[in-house]
Amino acid sequence: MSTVEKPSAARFVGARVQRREDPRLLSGHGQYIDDVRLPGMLHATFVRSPLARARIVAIDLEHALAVPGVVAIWDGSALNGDAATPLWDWAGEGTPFPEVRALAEGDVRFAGDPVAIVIARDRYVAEDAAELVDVEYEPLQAVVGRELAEASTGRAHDGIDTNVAWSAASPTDPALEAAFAASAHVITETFRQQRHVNVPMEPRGLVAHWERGAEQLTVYASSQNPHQDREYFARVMGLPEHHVRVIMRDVGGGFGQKIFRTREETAVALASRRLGRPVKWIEDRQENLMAANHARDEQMTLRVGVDADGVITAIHASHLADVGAYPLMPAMMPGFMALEVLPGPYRFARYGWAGKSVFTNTSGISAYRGPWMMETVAREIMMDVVAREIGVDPAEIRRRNVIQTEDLPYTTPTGREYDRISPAQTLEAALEEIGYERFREEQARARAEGRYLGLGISTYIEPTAGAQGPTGIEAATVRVEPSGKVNVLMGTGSHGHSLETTMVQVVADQLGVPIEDVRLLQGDTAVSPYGGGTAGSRSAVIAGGVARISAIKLREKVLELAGHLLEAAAADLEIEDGTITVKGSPGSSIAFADVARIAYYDPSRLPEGMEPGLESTSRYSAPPATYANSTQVCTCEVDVATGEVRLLDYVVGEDCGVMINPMVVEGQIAGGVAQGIGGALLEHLAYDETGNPLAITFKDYLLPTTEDVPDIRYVHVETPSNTPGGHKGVGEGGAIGAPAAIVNAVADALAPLGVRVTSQPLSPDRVLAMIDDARSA
Amino acid sequence: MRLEDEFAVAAPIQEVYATILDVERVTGCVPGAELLGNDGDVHNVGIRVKVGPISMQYRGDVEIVERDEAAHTAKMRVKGREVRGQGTVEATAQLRLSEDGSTTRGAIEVEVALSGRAASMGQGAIQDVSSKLVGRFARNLARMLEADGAAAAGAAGAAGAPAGEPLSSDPAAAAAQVEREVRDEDENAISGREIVGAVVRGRLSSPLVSAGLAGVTLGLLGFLLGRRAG
Repeated sequence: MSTVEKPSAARFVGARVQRREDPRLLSGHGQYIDDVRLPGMLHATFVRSPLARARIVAIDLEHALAVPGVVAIWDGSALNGDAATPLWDWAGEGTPFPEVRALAEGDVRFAGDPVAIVIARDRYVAEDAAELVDVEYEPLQAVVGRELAEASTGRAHDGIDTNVAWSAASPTDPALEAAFAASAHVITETFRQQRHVNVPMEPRGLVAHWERGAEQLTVYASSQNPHQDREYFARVMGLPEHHVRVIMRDVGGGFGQKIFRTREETAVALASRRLGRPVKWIEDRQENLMAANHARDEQMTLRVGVDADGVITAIHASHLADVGAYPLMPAMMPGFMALEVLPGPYRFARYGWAGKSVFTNTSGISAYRGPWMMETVAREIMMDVVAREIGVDPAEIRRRNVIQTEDLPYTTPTGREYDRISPAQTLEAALEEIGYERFREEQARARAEGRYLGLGISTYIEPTAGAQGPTGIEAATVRVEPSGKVNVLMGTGSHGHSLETTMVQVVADQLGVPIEDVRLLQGDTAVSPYGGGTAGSRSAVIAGGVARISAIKLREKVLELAGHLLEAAAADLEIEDGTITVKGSPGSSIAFADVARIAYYDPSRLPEGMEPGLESTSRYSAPPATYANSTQVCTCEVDVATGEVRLLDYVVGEDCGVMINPMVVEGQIAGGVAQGIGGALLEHLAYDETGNPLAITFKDYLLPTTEDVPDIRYVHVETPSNTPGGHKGVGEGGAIGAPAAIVNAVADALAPLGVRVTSQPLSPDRVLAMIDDARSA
Repeated sequence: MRLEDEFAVAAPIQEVYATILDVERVTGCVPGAELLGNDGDVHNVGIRVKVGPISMQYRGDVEIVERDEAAHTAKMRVKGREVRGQGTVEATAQLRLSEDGSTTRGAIEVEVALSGRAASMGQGAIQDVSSKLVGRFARNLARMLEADGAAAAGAAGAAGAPAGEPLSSDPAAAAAQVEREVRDEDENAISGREIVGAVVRGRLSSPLVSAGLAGVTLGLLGFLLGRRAG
């Protein structure tokens, strides 16, 4: 519950500690990419294809190069050879992948495809010159639309003679078909989710600085992942990894769009190396909406077998994703992840799946806060469809299927092993908080008055802290400096989610020092040890875990040294508020800062064999996944005259294990819910049939405002995980659960009119159209 | 994107027909348009479109692909691109003139393929403005024809002349005058109200209902220039 807890000096974890980064950010002193100004810095912009698919016939740079202040203009044929080809490759057996190059070469594959990079003394000159680059195109048939791509006679890519990027299915299962045959009801429905954009407040951008003498590339990146960026630039530019430094300061959001560096960012780094000067590129909003990576754009067909009691006995899911031209993740990812996670919080005994991804001539797909969340969208809307069909209350049908504590440990049909989860508890907690029974009475009264109120439920399990490959481990160096102040060096990549506060809470607790005495340094590969950055809701579990491990190790050394100095056993000491005291002997104490000073400056006073200094580095390899669970419940009123959907009340019941900072947890959920509201009601990066993006300004790409987002109430259930500290991830859950809850609320409101809601966004015109369709049916 | 529109001019069909074929004159009736050169049936044209804060300049070729003077129909193809920027436009325009008493009616069908900013950002506005553009063209055309009539009769102030500053009796000066007025009107009128309306509607409607203003104008221009009889 949202009570304000005052942190005691000894326990910061669990307290609503104010964010350490806020004074800087809220006073305008954040350091974003555009705040980076280096001597001699040049500015880049891109010439982009206006066409979705075309052959490049000729590129004439003459007029553009004549603009005073232009330093260089390169097209793909001039620049791409400086980098490895492809820049990234996720091709596999039966899963083709295009040859990704920094700039288009020979042909263009989506509207916004970068064709040339213009470098000039300032951005104004660069933009003016870019307009004068004369590119002659021969239009080709564009592949647009996920449901049309496979059968299209066009090809999204040269050299790949199919638009199917990935296709797979579970083995035929006679037991599944038998379960369907034995079901009292079999219900099939298709759910669609439109194309979204992550829309970070700070678009993409970087400053690349090639230092000729040092043969070193320094990149200021707007990233989630500085160490993987370092590896990327080293690899594609043929540089030794220790000659690349990536610095990530404040980042105005990423939500998955900034996990990996992209083609444009690569071109800027290549340009800097050619020129031996720093080059800055800041993406503008139109470019971000048009050419930064997109998300969602998928559909899922569910076939569900239900017994007479509303228990689901068989389920089959079929997923289709449009991954665009150059996806920033393997083409299988959105589908495979969604299908694999789909069983979610329920005991689905029999499950089968099929998935397909298609290339189209649109901007490529990237991760976006819960990139597998179509499973929750489809499953949770389907739960309500089934409930209505067989006449069971939507809360009740979930109760009959949800995994109960006595079912644990539980292994899903796809092999996920749940242990410390509480989906039944978060479901009940959220229903109670919103006042489920009371709302049903209110809804009945409203209907009698001709008003349409609805309630929607969305229950899910969020796999967090997926730990494998480059994101498998996290490291923390905890260093007590000679004055007793503490620096924590980590490879995290906070892009706005409070790690400067939460990691410090963890370390300050273990070292027993005031929170002001601890500071997190992150995001600079020259300073911090290797870490996997931020993605997949991993920071609390893996980074929080290793911060704790490393701090505990250092605490042991501090106590050993203090015990030696106080002539007491380390086990008899306690540290509180920067003072180390012999338990029960308040007179026998030493300041934490004095211990630090002695550790560095007075080695003769150290115990025999103790290394001088106070520093500890630990690395932690987390389990493959740590599961959080949640239920979102919201209520709404639909105005059937205008089609407006107004959210009335919103409750999130969440179990993310031990909370480091409930305020930060709630902030993560709130942001995700707001994004989910945008997806459910407003946002749509539409393309026309020829591949023109139709929402490249905020006039057309509609984001939720404070008008659209209600106050959100939270109910916390804390089931500790089995990782150090007991934390679970919480970064993506808000966005995962919200769309289905909202769609269900609208469908519930309009159920008396016979409206069935299976797609988004529920903009007023679409709501009115659905009502008209139902009335004329 | 396909657009259809109609206009009416109170003048005999042959006169409307002949006037429309006079490229130098009729160009001035198309808001923001300018004729840059001719090469037989291919006309090099420029056009400026200003919608609110967004200004776009196109240059391209208009080619007559079909012409039937007896049936008063014609078809032409337009291919152009932004003078500053990367947007392109391709359009096919078809016109059919018909007689209705003393009035000549024109039906225009334009099939436009746009790319770039106009394709992405012209949406919303186009629905409101395309008919207005056609209407404005027809009004300008009528004023020019009526000025012709007045000039031929050697008298000013022909009955039924539309409101506004009297046009010069010199056809060339009249055309220039119309062009000036049209440009002024274009830059002022297609600005405030339509854009506000589009923004308000933008929050209420799906962005899929879309089109581009510049393309329609070019298509209209393409149709008109294509009427030139070789």
